[in-house]
Amino acid sequence: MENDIVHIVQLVEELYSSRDANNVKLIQKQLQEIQKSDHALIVADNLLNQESLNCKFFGALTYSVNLNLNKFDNLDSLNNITRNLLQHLISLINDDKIINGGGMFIIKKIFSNLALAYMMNHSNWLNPLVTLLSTIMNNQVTYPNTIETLEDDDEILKWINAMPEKFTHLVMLFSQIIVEEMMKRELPNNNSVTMHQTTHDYLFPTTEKFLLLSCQKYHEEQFLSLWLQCSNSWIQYCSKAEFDTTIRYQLTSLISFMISLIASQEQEILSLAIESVTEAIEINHTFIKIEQRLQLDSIIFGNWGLQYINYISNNQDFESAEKFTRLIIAFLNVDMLKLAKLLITDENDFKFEFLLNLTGFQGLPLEEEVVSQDMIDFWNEFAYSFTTDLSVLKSSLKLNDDDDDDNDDNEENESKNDGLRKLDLKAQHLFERVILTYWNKIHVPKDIDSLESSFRDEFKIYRRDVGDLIDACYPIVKHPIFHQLVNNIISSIDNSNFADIEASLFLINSICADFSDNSVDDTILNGIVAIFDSKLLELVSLTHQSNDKFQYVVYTTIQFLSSIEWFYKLEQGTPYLSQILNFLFDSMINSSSYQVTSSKAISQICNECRLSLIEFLPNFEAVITEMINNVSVESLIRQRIINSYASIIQGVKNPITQGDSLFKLFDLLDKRSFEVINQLQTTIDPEQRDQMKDYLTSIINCISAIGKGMQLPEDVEDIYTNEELIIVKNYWTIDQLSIHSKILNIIQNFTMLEESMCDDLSIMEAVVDIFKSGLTEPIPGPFVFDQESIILFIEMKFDSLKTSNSYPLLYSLYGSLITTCHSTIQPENVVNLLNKIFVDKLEIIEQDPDIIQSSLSLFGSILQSKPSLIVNDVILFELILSFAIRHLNSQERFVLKSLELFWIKLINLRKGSRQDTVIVKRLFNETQLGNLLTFNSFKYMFETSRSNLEFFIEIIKIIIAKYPLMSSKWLNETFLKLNLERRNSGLKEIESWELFVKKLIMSRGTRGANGLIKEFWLQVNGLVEYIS
Amino acid sequence: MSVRNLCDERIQQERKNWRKDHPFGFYAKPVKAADGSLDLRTWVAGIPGKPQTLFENATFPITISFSEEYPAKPPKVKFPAGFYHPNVYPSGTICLSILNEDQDWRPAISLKQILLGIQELLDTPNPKSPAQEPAWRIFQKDKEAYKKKIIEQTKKYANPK
Repeated sequence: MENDIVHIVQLVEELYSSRDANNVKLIQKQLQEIQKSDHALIVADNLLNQESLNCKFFGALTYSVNLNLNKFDNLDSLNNITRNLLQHLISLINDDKIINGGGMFIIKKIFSNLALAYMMNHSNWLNPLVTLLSTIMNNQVTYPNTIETLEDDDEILKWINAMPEKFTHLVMLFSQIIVEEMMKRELPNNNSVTMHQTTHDYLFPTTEKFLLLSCQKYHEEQFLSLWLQCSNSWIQYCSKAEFDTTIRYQLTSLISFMISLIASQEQEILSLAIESVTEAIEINHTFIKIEQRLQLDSIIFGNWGLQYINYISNNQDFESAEKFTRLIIAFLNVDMLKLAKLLITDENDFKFEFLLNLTGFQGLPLEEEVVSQDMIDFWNEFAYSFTTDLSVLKSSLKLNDDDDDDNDDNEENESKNDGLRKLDLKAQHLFERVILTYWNKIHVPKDIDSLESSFRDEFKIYRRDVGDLIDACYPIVKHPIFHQLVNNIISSIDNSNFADIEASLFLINSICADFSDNSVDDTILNGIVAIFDSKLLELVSLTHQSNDKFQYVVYTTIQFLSSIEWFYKLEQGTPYLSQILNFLFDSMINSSSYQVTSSKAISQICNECRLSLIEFLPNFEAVITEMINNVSVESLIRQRIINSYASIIQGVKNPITQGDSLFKLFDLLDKRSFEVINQLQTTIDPEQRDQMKDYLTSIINCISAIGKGMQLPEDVEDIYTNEELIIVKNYWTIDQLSIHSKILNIIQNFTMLEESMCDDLSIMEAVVDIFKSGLTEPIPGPFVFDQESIILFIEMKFDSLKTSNSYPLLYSLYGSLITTCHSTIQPENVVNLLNKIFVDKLEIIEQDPDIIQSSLSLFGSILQSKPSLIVNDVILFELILSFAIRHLNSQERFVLKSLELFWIKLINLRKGSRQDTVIVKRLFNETQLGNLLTFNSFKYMFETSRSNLEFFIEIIKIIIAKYPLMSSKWLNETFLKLNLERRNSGLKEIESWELFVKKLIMSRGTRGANGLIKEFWLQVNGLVEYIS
Repeated sequence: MSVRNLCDERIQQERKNWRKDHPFGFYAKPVKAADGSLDLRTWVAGIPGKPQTLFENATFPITISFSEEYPAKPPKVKFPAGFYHPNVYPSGTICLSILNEDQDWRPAISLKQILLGIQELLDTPNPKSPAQEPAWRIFQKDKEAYKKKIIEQTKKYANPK
């Protein structure tokens, strides 16, 4: 054994000194085996008796491992271990090298082990603190206890006085570690309740008395720090114990002393006390009773609080300021309503003054101080007392009109009104000052670019939070603050104070974002007008070309122009449109930094007030040319601006002007794209080719954006008079400038000229969007093409496509065409085209679920609009039906969804003619269709996943609802056949299906069938419903 | 004194919790009605794309609608209509198990968890719960094309520099 110990000691030393990870792993493995062996505790005792701290610690650790392994389930072994641990503890605490030489971690480990032993043995070992005290005092193991209850002051004082200070530290530490261990480990419920009860009855009273009496003797920082740590752990533990059981703790004496430490003269102690009290409130504020609240209130808001703020302010002690603020917020958050009530009287004004001063704590937010950031939440919460919770506040102040229904006393009403007015006024005044404090704080620091990017990101969020705060306060402060901000902008323009302008505009943005053209009032409108009259845009424009110094004011101005979109709809806004658009165009063109935000604002303005912008069309032309020709412009921005331009063109009622503008635009797009397509054909470099293709994709997307922009925004009769309508229709029917051909030509260039673009999915998407944009238009227009052109395009593409990627898009286009043109489309044309794009391609289609799904959706569209387009052609129709039955075995959700719609539409046949109905009914009644559909629906439903069940249920329901007589036969045949198949495959047969069929028939395909089918599906698959 | 129901109480609580503790870069707040009062049942929120993903440097707007049955039932969370993502319906409604009362919704799920869940979903779509065809199809078939589309969409919601 001795040799073994020597070897183990070597291993332990090596474990803590080796830098070779593999070696460490190897040693760990060996030592872990020893720790779990039968003689582990002998090794542990030996190691604890070694001189080396590493060995002592490893010995203590070995005890932990064994206690955690729950090896000791009988009282004797637990008692032995406890005795051994206490014995080791005596040696350790009497060894100066341990206590003063960095060996406390070993003592802590022993304490932790004793705590574990207590948890396992709490029904016998009631008070481990008494054990420790008597063991220390007698310098020998005193276990088991001779007494368990130790609450007598004199007795405890006697012990405290008799022991050296360092041992009082140990007593507190032990108590702390016990409760921390109890919080870490969950015991089985019964054990947990008795453990909490024992702790409450024995350990807590001794600890409490020890803490309260020892602090009368010792006042040094080290002692008080340990005292606070111990108390905090107890507060946490008590909170948990109260949550887990019905036990209740009375912590007032401890907390009272803790609070009294805040007013300590020692900075370190008061700082610790502030943190501890904050933590106590945050953990469970119900422990803080009224006396402690008053005590805390008088400290925070009394002379001490003021002096402390002055002290930390003068010393620029940002850390202490943050801690103190956290305490104040935690304290006040407990009862905001009470604080709000204080505002009605003047005697508490000093408290609000104090909070305002704290909010304005000197220093750059986040970089230096975080007080103002913490206070944002506080003020937000406080503001709700005067907005969301106003009725509660009034009620508690008895200021509600309906508080005393029986009392009609005028004098009392008058007094209530006075009270309300006063409260409103004081709240308004207070929050105005809050906002002005934050107005100062949100100023962008001059040297922001030299600060770290993480600061910039956080500062942005800080400003946004301030924006939210003003949003929350605005119902309280209303117009006066808006006026102040507007006036500040106007006065700051004279001295070009960009920082002030930016801060004011930023807050105005937050206020304006919530208005609409219906809700905004004249005061606000006049304020906005005053800003535009103040030459703000002129001044900010001057900064465009400057360096990034002014970027914030430009951004915020653009944001401002975006946030007042309601302004442009009102007549007061119209006169300013020109300067606003010019400003935005300048911002967009002169600096790439502002392109995204400017283009968004332009897009918003154009969409909101297209009619007022017609006269600005010429202003757009230069910008549009730049957008199209400049390859480096972002696609998104190009599309946005062109869509905006198209929205304005749409607003032009004169089709000639409209046509002229469009012609120029398409001509530009046509020439430019043709040029690039040609270049592409001769370009080899892959990177260059990618760039060119991206640019071309953006150009074709622009055409699609024009198509969207040109869609009529309202009903035709709301836009045009009868006379105007005739002119518009004539113009676009004749199409003198051949705009339709121009667009078709562009499409052809994109989809037929260059091989690499012919099969490009993004280009095809844009082209399909272009065609679709005119399909729903009620009158002729630039994007309203004749159906032959679209059909021809689809046909040509199916002929030339080398891959099937675009099939779904083309099917979707054809489906949309049939939905809108079904009344004029010829059935033979449909059959012809379907033969080319479906029948001839069936082999390819069958390989790809997306194409299967999109072709089924196309048939669904036909059945929804005009079933006769396919129903009458026997060969084609039968092919489609067998296709739709075959794919019931699909596992793809979208395919099944399309199938569900297909079958529902076919069986319902809502748009079917009499002849269509006869054909379909005959197919179901006289052929195998009904049988096949029922059989396959059930067969694949039983095989499908739970999430796809709904699709099959709907198909089965419609069969039963529409063919009630036949479905009984189909169902019986289905189950007989299914069971035969299952028998042949060695599967368990479906049981009780006869009853299910009866119930199903009785449901007549109503909603009741859903549960029935689902239940049967679960039964057949041997599953249970997991949602109760 | 006004009587609040469970739904409003819970929303107020969520609001407080959110203000006290919300992840960096996110925002969430109730909208204001025309009269300036707060509509607690309808919120607007912003989800920042995770760094080092296709969604980074942008904040994606969502609306959150709480029904009377909240928290027994989940709120309805929507991106703008047409949002390009395999698990977002064409209407913008998000298909996420924790937002589905038949799946993983539990009344204890907080607003913060919902928004973090959506942030996670942005870059890790669930191909087993497709909600829109275009994005789902391309996500399955052509990752490069999907990537391009997402980058384009992210630009639309890019954070101001």
